[in-house]
Amino acid sequence: MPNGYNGRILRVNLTDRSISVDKPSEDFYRTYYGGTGFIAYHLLKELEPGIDPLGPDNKLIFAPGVLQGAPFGGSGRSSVGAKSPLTGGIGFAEGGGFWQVELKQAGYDAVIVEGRADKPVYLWISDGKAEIRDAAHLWGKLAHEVVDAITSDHDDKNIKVCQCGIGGEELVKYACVSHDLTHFAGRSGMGAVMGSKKLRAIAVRGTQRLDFADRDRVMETARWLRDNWKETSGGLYDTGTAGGVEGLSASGGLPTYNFRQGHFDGAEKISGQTMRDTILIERDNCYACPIYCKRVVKTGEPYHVDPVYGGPEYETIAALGSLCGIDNLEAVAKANELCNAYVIDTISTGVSIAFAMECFEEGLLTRDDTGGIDLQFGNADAMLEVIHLIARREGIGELLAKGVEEAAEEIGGRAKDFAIHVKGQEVPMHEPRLKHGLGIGYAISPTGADHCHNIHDTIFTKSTRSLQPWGVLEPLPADDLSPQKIRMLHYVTNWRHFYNCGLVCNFTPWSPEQIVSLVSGVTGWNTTAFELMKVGQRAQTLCRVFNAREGFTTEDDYLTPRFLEEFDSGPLVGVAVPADRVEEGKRIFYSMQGWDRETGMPTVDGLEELNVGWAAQYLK
Amino acid sequence: MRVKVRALGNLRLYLPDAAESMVLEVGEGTTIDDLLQRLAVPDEGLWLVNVNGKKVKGDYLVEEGDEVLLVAPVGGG
Repeated sequence: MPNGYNGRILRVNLTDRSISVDKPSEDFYRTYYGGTGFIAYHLLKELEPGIDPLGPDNKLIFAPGVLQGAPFGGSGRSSVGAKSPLTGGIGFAEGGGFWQVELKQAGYDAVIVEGRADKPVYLWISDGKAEIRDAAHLWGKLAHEVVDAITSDHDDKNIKVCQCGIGGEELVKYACVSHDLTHFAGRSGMGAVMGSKKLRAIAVRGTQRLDFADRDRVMETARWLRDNWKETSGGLYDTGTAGGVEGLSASGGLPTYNFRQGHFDGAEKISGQTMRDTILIERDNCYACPIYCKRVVKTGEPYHVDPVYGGPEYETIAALGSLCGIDNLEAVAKANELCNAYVIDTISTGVSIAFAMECFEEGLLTRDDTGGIDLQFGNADAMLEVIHLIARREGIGELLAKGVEEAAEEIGGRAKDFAIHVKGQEVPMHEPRLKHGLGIGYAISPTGADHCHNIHDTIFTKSTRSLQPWGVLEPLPADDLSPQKIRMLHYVTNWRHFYNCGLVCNFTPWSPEQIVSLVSGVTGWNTTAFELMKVGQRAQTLCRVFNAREGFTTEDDYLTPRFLEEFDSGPLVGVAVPADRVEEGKRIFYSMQGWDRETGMPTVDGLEELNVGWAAQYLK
Repeated sequence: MRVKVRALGNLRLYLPDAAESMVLEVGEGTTIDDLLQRLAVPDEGLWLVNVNGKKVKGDYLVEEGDEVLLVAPVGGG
């Protein structure tokens, strides 16, 4: 039995209902790990270019990694990937929780779903067995109703469920995947792919014990976080991921009024501190993590929230709060509950609603279009009503469920200026005019605008402590876009892509040395940070090959025009990301990654250096 | 004169009992730099300082009733 993983990948074809098991070699796991690496490998090898992301030829891959199941903080995480209906390129999203551990303990390292069922089904996996079951009784239900139905049908409340929701059933372009009701693989529209296959849920019960090469070493390293989390990460426990809302607004970097501003007068009212002091009733965690950054909230009328859906993270508070001009925390908590119940991505939902609000303000959408809803910035009730409409694709929701790029095309005229996306994926809640390197990261990300496999420049303005192991010794201003900032982006994105393969949570304070210790302890491999960094670079590069095969070029690596315009007010008044620096920055990034400086295409020699020379056949 | 100091995130650790806010009694001619030195806030942990909602530099002279906000570098979420 290998260490840390099972050596078994479940393959399910929903068209002919066949189930089989792949058994990759140890070298395969050591090369691709899981998550993005695994997803990119399989999609590149097994999909034809040009297929419909919502058609039966797409493959939906649920990929934990080698590390899942090892009891250290940050290991409760896994990835979902497929060709994205939002961008037409590769899609993947990470989410936390416990579901992925259960899958590893059930004897499988990942699940590849192919084809399309002729009617709603769910997958039931338990200790080495998998079966396709009827899900007619689950279709049309809210997320918690599905978990209740499955756990009572099997009479086992320890069953873990991942699911698309009504959003996925309705093929909302940014429907996502829910793990355990409060954790979300949010981006890229993976829930829509799941719904298009009529796969409503994957329910898992796994009681098998995973072997580790050196369990003591894993436990000892894990103990460091248990002993030190308060000092390293106490803020996350205290105020959750939204502890920075007020600071971001003071810095001019809190996305406000559809990214027109970076400062929001109501910031304090929707901060993590205010949440802690008002509606917070509990803190929650992912598998084996002592930090407890997750929120659980309870509110009264008129915005009653069921605590079973947890509480809002930073992205949600900004996207459905300041971005929409809303300073009512209870309304934002309600919006979070609705998105979680329908299983639609809070980031894309917020950006789509803010887009509609700006269109409404500019007269491009009227009350006739909205069905009478007064869709103005700041109107919390309107925001909540539109969430229902999006999830169910009714009224104005039918248009907005397509994502801002397509919605803007349909409206026409100036609407495209209000559609804040890159490659079709809505921009998350991080302002490039505050963090200029992040802006380049938005441009080159394989999944469209993304904040997770990206740099947050503000962290490295005074000290580069967490980058010193990579030899990055000089801090840089947040608005610096010199080659040295691109060097930071190059290392940070590759390391973050490794985290998306391993998988490891970005909010844990592990040093590269500790990660090596954890990986070696789990697997027994004589690995180094160098090798692990290359795993990330390999994944990022394979994603690039996939996208190139789908027709993406360097023209698709752009930053949304709004960020190239100066703020007209606020702490960053007069600041824009310089367009020429974006162009030059992305070329430097290509070059540093081993890709062609002009075209951004991976080179054959570069692929060989990453030990994926086989991918060269897919380059034009 | 009295000024109110608020500290966000880890910067709370520099206020007594890790409070999020406190009122400080300071003399005439006190600058923001003086205040930071008195609270022993390291430059590395500080992203910016706001007074009454506006960003200020270290040589800003505080006035009676000013609300000083200390902001740490904030990352992702």
